[in-house]
Amino acid sequence: MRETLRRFLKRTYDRALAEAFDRSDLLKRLWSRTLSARQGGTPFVPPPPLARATLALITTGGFHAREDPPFNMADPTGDPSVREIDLARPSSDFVITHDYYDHTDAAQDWDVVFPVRRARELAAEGVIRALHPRAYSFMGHLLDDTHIPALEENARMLGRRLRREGVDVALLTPA
Amino acid sequence: MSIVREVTERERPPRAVFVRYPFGHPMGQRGDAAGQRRVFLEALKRLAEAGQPGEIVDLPFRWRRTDFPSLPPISLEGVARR
Repeated sequence: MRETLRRFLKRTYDRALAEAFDRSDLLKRLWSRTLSARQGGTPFVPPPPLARATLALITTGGFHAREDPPFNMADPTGDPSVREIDLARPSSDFVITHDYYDHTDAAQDWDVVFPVRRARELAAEGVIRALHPRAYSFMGHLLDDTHIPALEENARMLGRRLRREGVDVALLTPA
Repeated sequence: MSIVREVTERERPPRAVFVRYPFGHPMGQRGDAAGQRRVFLEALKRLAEAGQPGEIVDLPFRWRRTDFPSLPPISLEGVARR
């Protein structure tokens, strides 16, 4: 009971803090200054024409299959893991675990943060060649540099996998 | 996509599109397919353009105020798209 109460209070606090950040440009600026600036150059590869490009969706919105382990909300420094989202499955097979943004709208309409239907429409129209059948979700709360090495390794592995599977471009959407 | 410009300025992804929308809504409002689609098309437009790595394109859309169906079509690789 005490643990349940503790988690409830933590979740309430985290969401309230996220709400405050969302409403304050000053807090966003101050928060961004605590982050380590990117080192090294930015990779920049010309993509194929959009009509010949296979696009993958990647989000930090905390989506995962119900049977998958949820993202770890007990660790205040975050969770660097990634989950595969099989887009052939119905959306009801998936849930959102993320205490740092209000995902009420996202739970009812994925496309506000994870634009699967919009991508499918664009593929059907030929704007892009295809939507990759597997999407990926991270959970975007990382308090400090604790999980950066693991996150970078997961991101590199995901990038290599997507290239092997013929993905040309990816749309990354933050929560 | 970017919804906190300062973070994107530090991270410098290859290409970025910034929109001044609330957390959890980088593509737009719930149920607003036209708005979500327009944001998606703007991101694809940025992808299709040469540009420079680390550049951030600022979208002019205003949360709950932009009338997306009334916007002129976007030109994407020579084709007008709504």
